[in-house]
Amino acid sequence: MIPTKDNAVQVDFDNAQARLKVRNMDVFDDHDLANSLTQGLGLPATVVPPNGIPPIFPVRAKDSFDIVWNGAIDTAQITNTSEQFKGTFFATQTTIKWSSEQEGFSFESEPPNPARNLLSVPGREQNGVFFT
Amino acid sequence: MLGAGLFHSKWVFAGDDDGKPKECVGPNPIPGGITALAPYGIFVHHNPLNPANPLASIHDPSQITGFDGFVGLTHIRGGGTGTDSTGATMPLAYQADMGFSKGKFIGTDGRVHQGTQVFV
Repeated sequence: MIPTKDNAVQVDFDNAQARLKVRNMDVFDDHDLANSLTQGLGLPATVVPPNGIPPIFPVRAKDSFDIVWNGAIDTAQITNTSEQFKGTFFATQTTIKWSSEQEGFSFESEPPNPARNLLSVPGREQNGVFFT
Repeated sequence: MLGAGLFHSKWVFAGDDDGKPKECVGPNPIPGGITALAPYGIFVHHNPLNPANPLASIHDPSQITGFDGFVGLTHIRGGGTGTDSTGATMPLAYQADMGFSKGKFIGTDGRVHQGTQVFV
């Protein structure tokens, strides 16, 4: 989790809409998930046959992204006592537009496309000590 | 696929007006999550959304506990264009598993705080 300014997130809960917009956030590009989780150590071939995942040192990057959750497709009221969370959640149409820059490389995503969304969920919840 | 520092993010405010990050008190992670890269087994305090499961069956979409507020989570795939230092371009695919938490939370100091966090 990276703390950011409050105005980076706008929520219109009644209309199941939210937007997360950040520019030039300092992040580390770890190249792949395995190196992100192992802090650049990669994984040996015994874990990921046949060749493993080679270690790659993380590099500094700046990311900008604009994610828009836009209107309920489905709604659920959830009270989960085992995980100690409750709230109202929506499945929404959602799009993302993002870019990343680092020394010697940049990436620009395709235009926002709702068809790319697999499942995206905004909601209002309480968990932990706020569950009861 | 781009990973953005699941373990080495510092608890600072990004993009403050003076351009300098400010230290602050962070939240506590949810007790649950997934063990990624099985059987290597690295526990991550995050429940990825599974499109095969109904909305009513989702696990806690928040990454932080002691939380009361708005959350957002995504599971999106797409494509884009990478450009290297020579100007050569290449088509690339991505998967975004990102979100936010905005509201009050119990910080690591045991006190109530208000804030907005991004999950990248």
